[in-house]
Parts: sequence; structure tokens; C-alpha cells
Amino acid sequence: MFSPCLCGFPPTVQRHAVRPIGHAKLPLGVSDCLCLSVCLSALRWTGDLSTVYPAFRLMTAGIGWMDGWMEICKVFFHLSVSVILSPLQNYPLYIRSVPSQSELKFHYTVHTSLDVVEEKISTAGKAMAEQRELYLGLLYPTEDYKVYGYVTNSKVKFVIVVDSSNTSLRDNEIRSMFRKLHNSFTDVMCNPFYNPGDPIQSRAFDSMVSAMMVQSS
Amino acid sequence: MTGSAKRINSELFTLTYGALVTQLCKDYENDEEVNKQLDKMGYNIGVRLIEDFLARSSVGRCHDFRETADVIAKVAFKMYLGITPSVTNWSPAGDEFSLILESNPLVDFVELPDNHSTLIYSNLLCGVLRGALEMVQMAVDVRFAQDTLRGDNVTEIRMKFIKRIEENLPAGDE
Repeated sequence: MFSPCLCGFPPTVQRHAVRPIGHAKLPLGVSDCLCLSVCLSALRWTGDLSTVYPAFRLMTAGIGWMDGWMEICKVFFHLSVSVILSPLQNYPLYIRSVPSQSELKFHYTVHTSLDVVEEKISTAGKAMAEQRELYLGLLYPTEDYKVYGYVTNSKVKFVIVVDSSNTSLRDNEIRSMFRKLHNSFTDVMCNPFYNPGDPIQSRAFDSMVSAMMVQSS
Repeated sequence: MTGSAKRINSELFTLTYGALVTQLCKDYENDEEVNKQLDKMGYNIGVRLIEDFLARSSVGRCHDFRETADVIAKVAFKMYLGITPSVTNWSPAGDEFSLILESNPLVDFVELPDNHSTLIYSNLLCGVLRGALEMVQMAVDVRFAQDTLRGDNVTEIRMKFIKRIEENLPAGDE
């Protein structure tokens, strides 16, 4: 929730207990507030509200929740594909976290890292006659965790997020984790009952990932 | 004939069989019906495969059911699937036995989804055995007693001798 210190709020809004997230003269109504606060708290965004306001206005102007959400994501993440529920590309087939912490936080991290992955594979493509490696290495460090990426030639992306405090994991261990993931993923694809694009529900894959997470923790 | 088989990639074979089973599942939408179709298809393969087997393996006529069991396990399975199941659990009358398969190339990478719990994925094998033995004048009943795809530790095929077929009617397709 955000504070009534945002100028220009109608009086009805000021009744909600909110925390300041920006300073801008934005005429937001009650439903706007609630909607926006849900989005922004989910993303833990603390930037300038005015950048997101135009996109947000679209959401409440009747173009629909999903499209408005996409617009916000374009502003935030500079992604040109839909993020959360669309059946198009770049949605997660499998997400697993230890110890089942808030998955939403990891959704956010993974989606921002997709941007970096896209950038890496597009720049590598320009270096001709050089075979791009599948392992992309450390994508970007944040203060909480490190993100590693790996992409197959069929554009399937694997992302591993490890806690920054875990310094014992070396590069070649991460590489072998990606190799195991890639091999298990290939086995899942070979299951005739698995339709490509479905979420992965394989017991063998689950047990491989569990073993890997236990081993690296 | 020396019995040398042309090399073919086993993954292609596994994926082909998998595509066949899933297509049958989509067409019939009923596990029991799919099981029956797999058995029928296996039978049609078996009545033809027996000729190839007899030509390649040069085994003579088996004197009893025990010899048949050994030939099936040690020669036939080895020749066509590259595995050698073990023959166990003979009934006291000597007319029923089990083939225990430690591995089954048909089911590499396969995980049965929950909505197909009664599907006998490898039922083609039962039909093949039934059809092949019918061409050598043996009527048998073949079924899966255990299946690793459905949670058992091993895959067990149970074969029961029913009777000797006296009349030499030409075998039609089922």
C-alpha cells in the first residue's frame, strides 16, 4: 500500500494505511490504489511511480487486467513477451525452491534474468563462425543471490538461483548441475505422454532436482 | 543365416512405440480398448515374426514347454529386444511360467500419467508371443503380472500353456 503523501489523491484514498513509494502528482482513485499496490508489492518495486502510471492507467481504462499487466512489465523489465499466464514463450515449465520460500520472489528474479539471457544469446549470434556455448555463466549478481543461466539450441532456458552466502559452489559444479538438468529434461521430453509446453510433472525429474538441491545446500 | 541384425538406434524404436501407444490412447480414449488393440497388433506381428525367428535362429522343434520357455527367453528376446529375461515360477504341472524382465527397452523414459493407470503399456509383447506360438501349434495365454510402469519392482510376464493346436488352419489376421 502507498501513502497519501502522494499529492493529488482523492480524500477517499487517504483512509487506507499506506507506505510511501514515490512522489508524483497522480490522480489515483481507490480501485487504482488497491490494484497498483497489489502489483507493486508483489514485485517489491520501490521506484518512481510516474513511470508506471501511464501503463497502469491502461489497466483500469478497460483494456483488461492481463494486457495492463503486460504493459507494466514492459516498463519494468523491458520484455517484449508476456510474462505470467500466457501460453506463449518464456513462461516457466518448472520452478522449484528451497525450502519452498516465496515462489513469487523467484518468479520475479527469473523473469528479469530472462532479459539478460536474451541479450547474451543475441550478441553471441552476431559473432559468426563461433559456436555459442550452452552454459551462460553468472548472469548478474544481486545482494541476495547469484543467478546462472544455460540455454539449449532449442531455446529452452534453465536458470539456477543460489544464495550469495553459499560461496562453496564452484563454476564447474554449476556446470554439472546444468548438464544434469539438461539430461533429465531430455528424458522428460522423450516420455510419449508428455506434451511439449506442458508443466513438467515427472517423478524422475523431481527426484533428480531434489537430490541436486540437497547436494548443493 | 547367421542371425546378424541390422543396427537401429534404440531410442528411435522406443519413441516410435511411444508415439504408437499415445496415438491409440487418443483414438480410443479407453485403457481397456487400447490394451486390446495392442494385443491384436502384437498378434499380427507375432504370426509373421515367427518365420523370421525360425529362419534366423535355427532352433529345432521344442520337445516340451520348458524348452519353449528357454528358447523364448534366451534366444528370441535376446535377438529382438537385446534383453534376456529369466524364467521362473513354474507351476507344479509345468504348464505355466513367468518371464522376469529387469529392463524393457520399450519403456525407456516412459512415465505413465495418473489418468492411464490401467494401461498395459507393453501389451504388444503379449500379442507377439501369443501369435508366434500359435504358428507353431501352441495355444497360450500371455499376460503381464507385474509392470515397473505401474509401480512394481520388476516386469513379469506370465505365460500359460492352454493346448496344442491340431488342425493346421491358415492363421488369419485378427
